[in-house]
Amino acid sequence: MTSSVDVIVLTSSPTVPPRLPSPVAYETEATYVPQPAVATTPRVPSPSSLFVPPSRSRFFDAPARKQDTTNKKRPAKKATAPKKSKRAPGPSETPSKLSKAQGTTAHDGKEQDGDNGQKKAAKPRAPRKPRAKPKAQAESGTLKLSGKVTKAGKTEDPGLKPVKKRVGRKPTAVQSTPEDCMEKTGLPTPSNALGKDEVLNLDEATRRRRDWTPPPETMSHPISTGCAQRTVAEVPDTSNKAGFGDILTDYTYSRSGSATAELRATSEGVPTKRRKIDLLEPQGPSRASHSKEILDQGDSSSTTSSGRLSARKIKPQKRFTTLTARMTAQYGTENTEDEPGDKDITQYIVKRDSNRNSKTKAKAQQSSVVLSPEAAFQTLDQQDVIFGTCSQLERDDSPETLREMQRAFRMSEDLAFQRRAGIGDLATSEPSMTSEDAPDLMSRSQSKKKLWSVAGRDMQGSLVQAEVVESLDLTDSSLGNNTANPAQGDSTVRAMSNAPSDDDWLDLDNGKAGLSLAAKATNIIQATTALKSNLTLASTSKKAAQETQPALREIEQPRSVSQFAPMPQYSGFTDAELSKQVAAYGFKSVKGRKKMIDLLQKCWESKFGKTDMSALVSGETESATNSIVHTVQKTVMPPKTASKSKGIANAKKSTSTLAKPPRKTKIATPKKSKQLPPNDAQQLPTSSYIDIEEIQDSEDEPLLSPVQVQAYYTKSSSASTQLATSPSRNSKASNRARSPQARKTASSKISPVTERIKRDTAIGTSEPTSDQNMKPLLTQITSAVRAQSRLPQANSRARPTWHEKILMFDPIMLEDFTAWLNVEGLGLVDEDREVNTTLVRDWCESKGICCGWKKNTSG
Amino acid sequence: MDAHDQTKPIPAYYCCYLLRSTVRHASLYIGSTPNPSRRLSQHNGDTKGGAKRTSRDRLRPWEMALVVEGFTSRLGALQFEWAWQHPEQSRHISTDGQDMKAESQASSSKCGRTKTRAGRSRRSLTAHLEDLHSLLRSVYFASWPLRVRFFRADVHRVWRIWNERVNTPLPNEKVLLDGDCVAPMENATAAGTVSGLPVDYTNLEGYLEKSKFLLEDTTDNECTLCKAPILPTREQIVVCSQDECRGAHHLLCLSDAFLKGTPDSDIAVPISGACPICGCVIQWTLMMQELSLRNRGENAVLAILDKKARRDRKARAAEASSRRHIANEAEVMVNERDHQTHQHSENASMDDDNLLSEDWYEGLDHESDTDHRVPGNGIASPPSRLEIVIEDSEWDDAEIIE
Repeated sequence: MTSSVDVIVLTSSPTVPPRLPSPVAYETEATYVPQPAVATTPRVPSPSSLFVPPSRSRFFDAPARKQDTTNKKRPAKKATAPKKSKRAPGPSETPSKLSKAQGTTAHDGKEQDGDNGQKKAAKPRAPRKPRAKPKAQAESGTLKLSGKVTKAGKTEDPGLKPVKKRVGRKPTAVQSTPEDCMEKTGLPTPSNALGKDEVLNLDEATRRRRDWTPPPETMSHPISTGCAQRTVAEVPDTSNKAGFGDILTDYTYSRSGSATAELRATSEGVPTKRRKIDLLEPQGPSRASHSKEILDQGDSSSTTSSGRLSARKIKPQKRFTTLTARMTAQYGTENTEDEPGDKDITQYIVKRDSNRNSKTKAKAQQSSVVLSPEAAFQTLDQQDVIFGTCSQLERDDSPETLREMQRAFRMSEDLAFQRRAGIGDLATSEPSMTSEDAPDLMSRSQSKKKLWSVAGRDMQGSLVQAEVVESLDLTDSSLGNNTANPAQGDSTVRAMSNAPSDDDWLDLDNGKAGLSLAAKATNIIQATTALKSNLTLASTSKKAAQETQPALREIEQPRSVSQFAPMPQYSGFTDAELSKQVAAYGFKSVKGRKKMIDLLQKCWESKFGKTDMSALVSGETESATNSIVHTVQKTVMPPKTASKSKGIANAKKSTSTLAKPPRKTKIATPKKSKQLPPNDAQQLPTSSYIDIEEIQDSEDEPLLSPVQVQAYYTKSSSASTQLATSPSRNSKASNRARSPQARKTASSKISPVTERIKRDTAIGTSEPTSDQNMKPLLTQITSAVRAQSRLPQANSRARPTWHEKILMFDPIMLEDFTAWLNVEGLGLVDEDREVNTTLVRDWCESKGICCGWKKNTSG
Repeated sequence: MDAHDQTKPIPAYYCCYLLRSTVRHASLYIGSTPNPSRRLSQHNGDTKGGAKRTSRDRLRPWEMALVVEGFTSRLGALQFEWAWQHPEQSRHISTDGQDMKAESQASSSKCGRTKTRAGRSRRSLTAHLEDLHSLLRSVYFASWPLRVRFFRADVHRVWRIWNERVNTPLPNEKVLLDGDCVAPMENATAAGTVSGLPVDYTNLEGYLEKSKFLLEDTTDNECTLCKAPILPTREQIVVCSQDECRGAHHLLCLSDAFLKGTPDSDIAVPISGACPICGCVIQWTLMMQELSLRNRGENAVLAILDKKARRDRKARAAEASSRRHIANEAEVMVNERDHQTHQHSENASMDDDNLLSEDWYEGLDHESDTDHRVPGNGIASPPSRLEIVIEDSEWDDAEIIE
């Protein structure tokens, strides 16, 4: 009672007065004329209307209440406007006391008024209540369809709860829980709650205003804010909390209100009663929601989520009484769907609603908590950041899918790396399996991978270039295995020939890493052999290499003998098969059957070692050399490692026993089969032996087609050096014509082994001295300039050639001219060298061509 | 700058000048300008913008002792100016400077001026002339179509003395005598004073007119050198500067033809050559000026032609003023199409206009004949085409383009 009294008087009256005036203003302002009429009407009947509010409950279908107030209701309906008018007086009467919540409570009270004479006993209350209710109704009508629902709830509530004020709340919560009723009943605590409720009432008041001024509902936001402010200003006396909550709620309502407003606008054209009824119904829920919200804000703890939920649930059903309502409801999502909308708003602002949401329930207990910046940051940090295109993000509703996709990407990427590393790991681990080092190997190998990827260095800090070589070997080996021979089948050391390059490579790494000596030795040996085979090819072709690598040879020769796998008769292959084979070796398709065969033979040789070194050597044709060169290029990296490892390998060889390899093979094969890509897998099973050269590189390094290789060689004598010098990675770069200096530098960088090869191959290539080059360069510039003008010119008038510019006395911008020369001009005269601006300037000045620097010249 | 320059035609005039105080002859100043007379007035304080060094009243008035003209670009002029102002730092002088020093010393031993020259300050007139001389002989500037125009006889005397001492004297064609160096009217190239210098494209008017007509009117032209058709809208076409000559060639063709005649095949840009059609020797610079102006300074060309047209009109109007209204002329001055369309209305409306237009044609032809020696027969109507109705356009527009 006390609470009710307090609530009623204070809240309703204060809220009302400001509202009333404001609504009028709105009405006037409002585009919707009909409502103003309503507003006018309400003014007329004052007292009756006050009582009427319960009647609204009728509208809401509150049976008991309706019954109680049926008589009143109808008049009230007719006089709803009058009620409002009454309200206006009411507010005037009690301007000082404002509590929106009270207004809501007042509604409840009104509804219950019939039930509870006591509460009404204080007339001010009653009038207030009616005021509040009408407002609420009107507002709810304007604002939210949900209001109806709430009222329905109220209607239900009334039966449950006689308590007036809280009833308002309850109605929202009522349906759901008796607890609410209890709370409501529990006046003392409720009082506080009521205060908050009052805030809610304020919201209602805003609704009312809207009712009064239905048209402005679009304006609802400003209105609501204004109301909120007013309420706040006024309310602070009563309850600050409530005021704040009101503000928030007001905002929420305003949105909802807009939707409701639309509804109203449609419905309002009809006589006020029905409109109101309609409005009331929708409003009820909204109101309930509002009240709930308010309650939540203020009394989140006290109010139960269940009640709200129920209210909401109920609301939608009632809301859509008319097509327009339905249609508009869709757009007034906040109204119809109070929960989400409210939640959204509230969530962003306050987390009080946690109660409502099962999700946040845990947090919910901290009903209204604005996250501290820190907490907010934490939450942000915790939040998964998903990157993707809008379409992707939009398409995938659940972040899970995205996450999974990303995971998959990562996995695949990792796989790619692992594949290299992993293969190596497996291989290494396999051999080491027998040995204790397996884990170490794994870790090391992985670490190696990382290191490689990062800096391309081994654990020991030496440059790792082995990958390149291996790639070739792998492909080769695969071919070898497939095509290859029975002889390979044996699990002897000779595995070399078959030896998947991967393992070899891995072994090498392992050896570097300091794997068990035995394992290393074997692996290394194999690897070295593989390398050797490659090297030997190159070296044999360029015999110097052999000398340099005696140890390798030693190993090789025995192996080669042992391996002695008969080279497949490529001549017997069909073209398709040949091309397949070539592709298997990682070469681009080669035109010409003979070339393919030659290439395959060389690949074969390189993989398995030359059965007949001499024969091969003798037999080497240019294509062979090319292929060799090609391999050399690829192997350029390996040679270093090989050379490095050679020493180790040799030492290990001595230590290593032949017996070990078989173990490795046994162990390795299963693992390999697992990890290795299909190609490898095939090879592995077939090849019993452990050493496999990694194919990893094939992806990374563009392989030069033999044709390209040939082109290089044929093109310039120095090409061979280039090839040898340029690591496979640079192969692309090598395509570009390089200035001799660049070549030099490149070559200088090359490992000694490769250099040796280079020398051998490139012997006799004369690198022009800079002086020699430079002088012609000037003439080359001239010829380039002239050459350009000989080209067909699309529009030389708009874009004069350089020659024309010169002839026309155009100042030549050195930067531009130099750029053109380097990019295009010198290419026209087959000049690979590049020129710098100084040289170009000298040229221009020697010709008396006005030239200048772009930077120095001011427009 | 490049893009900028591409839109710029070769300036009508750009020169470096040696300014000398008439009060104190030792006070010298080196500058560059596209308009010497304007610049001179600035130096003398008649107009704003003079260099500070020349702002002292007691040194005023200044005179231009000589100008080095013929720069084909502002950039080139600035380079030359800078090199002339900073002979010690210029690459173009430094190399020559060695032998020049030797020369100067050799000469100085004779003249006894060693100290002034050897001294750090080479601000004397002689020093400047020496620098100028070496610059003009430098590899870079030697091939430029530069000429030295002397306005003061005493300066020229110093120059001549120096030129005789130097091992490699400057060719005479690089030196023009003007001002008080020569008797008036003795030299056709003499402008008399700085203000008389042709700093605008006026001398190109006839040339432009002719070339424009030639290229617009005849679509079936072909380059006599390469026998390929001439596409003025897409190619760089050079037109002979001779009024009577209808020669039009591709830029590259003509340059090659010109360069063939020169002994030094290393030269990139010809200086002059004989037109393959008329056989007259034409200056490459002039042709390039016209070409660049035609290709890049269309507005300027229009302005020039319009100016010319107006001038012609005035002359014609003066002749036949009795019958015409000047106001009508403006209407008449439309390009041919407009003119013809106008003609209808004019025909319908006023007989005078008709008469006017007809007369105007005649008069124009006549004028072009007399003034520019353009063969009247073939080019009867072209001028009308060239003219455009920009009554207000002034020569200022063309100046801006410089």
